[in-house]
Amino acid sequence: MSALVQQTFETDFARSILSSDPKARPAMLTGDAALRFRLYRNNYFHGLGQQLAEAYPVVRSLTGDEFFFVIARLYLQSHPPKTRSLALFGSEFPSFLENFPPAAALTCLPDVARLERFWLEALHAADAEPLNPASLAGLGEALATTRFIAHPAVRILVSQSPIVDIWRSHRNSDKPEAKIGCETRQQTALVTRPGMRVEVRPLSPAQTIFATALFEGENTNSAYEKAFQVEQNFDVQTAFQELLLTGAFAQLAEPTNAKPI
Amino acid sequence: MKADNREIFTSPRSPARIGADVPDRVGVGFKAQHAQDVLGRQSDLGWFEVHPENYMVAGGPRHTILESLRGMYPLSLHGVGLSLAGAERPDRDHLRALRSLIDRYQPGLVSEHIAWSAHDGVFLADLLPAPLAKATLDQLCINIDETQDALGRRILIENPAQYFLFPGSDIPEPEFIVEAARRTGCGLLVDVNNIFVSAVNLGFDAKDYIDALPPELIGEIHLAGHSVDQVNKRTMLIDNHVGPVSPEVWDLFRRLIRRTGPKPTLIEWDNDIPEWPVLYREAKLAEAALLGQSVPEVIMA
Repeated sequence: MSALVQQTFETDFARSILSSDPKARPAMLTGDAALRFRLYRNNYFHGLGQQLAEAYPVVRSLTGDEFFFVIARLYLQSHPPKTRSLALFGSEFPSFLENFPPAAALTCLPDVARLERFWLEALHAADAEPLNPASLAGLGEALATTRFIAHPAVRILVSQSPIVDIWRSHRNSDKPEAKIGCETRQQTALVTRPGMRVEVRPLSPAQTIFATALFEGENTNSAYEKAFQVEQNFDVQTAFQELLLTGAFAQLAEPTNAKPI
Repeated sequence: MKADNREIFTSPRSPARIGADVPDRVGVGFKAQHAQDVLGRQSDLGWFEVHPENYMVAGGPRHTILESLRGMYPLSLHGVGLSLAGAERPDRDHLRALRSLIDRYQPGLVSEHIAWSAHDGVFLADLLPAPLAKATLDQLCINIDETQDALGRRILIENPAQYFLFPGSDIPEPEFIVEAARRTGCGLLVDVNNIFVSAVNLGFDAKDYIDALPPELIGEIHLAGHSVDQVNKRTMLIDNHVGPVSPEVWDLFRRLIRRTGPKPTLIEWDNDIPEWPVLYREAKLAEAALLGQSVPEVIMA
């Protein structure tokens, strides 16, 4: 077999594995070899199906096992891995679910998948020490004009579903009656990794605006003013402390009004 | 890899490490669920092996655990993603990622499979077959050369588990792998279970294969379990690393090491993974065989 024939064979082999026709076989394999080809096909869907299930346990819990692996199979046919490491495999699963009519009744599914994706990204994100609250001690009034650099693991998800409540109820309990299904109630999830463990917590609408502004590099005062517009009683101190304690910031950025040294 | 309960492994970047060389002893394929057992106290084991692809992430608990493991044992990186027997050249990004893991963890051994796994930008996440023929051998050698150049070191290549005689195969497998090693200067990782699985599936004598391997080329040995399946009323062995090493594979292993002497030997158990004591006992059986003690005595002890 020449190198060109090998190329053609590999194309045919890959196409046969990913084909929606369960009888698809590479043309070069006949007899016993054709029968045994199913081993490779099964390996692909079984191995990567398990990988997807490990990355999206709450999606699986919401759909049930049978439906989950039907969806996984369709995803694996259309979205094969592009990298040799599978640690972050499944990045397009949330958008795949968004455009998957058979699961449309589970309205929260795409956002649940997005949250699980953020969880995985946060787990594998670059290491960084969270900002030490003590480093703010001497700032005084300068705190108002201080800007922050978000921790590499930080993710924020604004959802029309009570996303954190749903996620927690499926992660923390095996009892079906304790699990929350999809419903409509806006909630934001903040994902952080202050040490080696990922944390997920809900944010109010005003906290969401405050945190998003800070992560985008606005100073404390400007972030507060934006949050104040949606909630007149916005408790900036508590909101700020929570962000600090959950490790949302890696360090202080240079002040916007820094005087040249 | 499950990701909870990792607080116990929050040691910072590893301080002192023991030496990099993998000894002629038994090692075990490291599994995340054994992290507490393995890192909790020093076991009487020679080394550990991991798949580098699982550690190609920026940070987080996987690196923390691997740093701790490397602080306690020599390490072997056993790749599944280089696609060395494929028609395409090795992926440059993947080689770079592998190189940076090697620089960071200083493994004593680096190995890959004689298989292909990627084609035209798609990774099929499996060890796929190629014909044992001249064109494959030529391409394999180009790919090994390129890999060894990029990594700045020698690698070992592992014989595949074959499920059928590939159309167009016309070089006997021992000859094929030895020729690849001779041409490129790489070493051999002899997977004894794969030899037995292929021998049953293709109908050749595993003992002849074992006897044809030059001891000086062998850098590592793999032992694993397989399962027995029936396809079209014919027995077929599947190399799925489930369960303990079979009696036939123990016999072939003893036959091999009688000729080669002790070599770094790995117990692979990747599916239906048992509790740590079961895996540890399997490793001690292999070590007894490696040292020439009879296995029953060790079980009695």
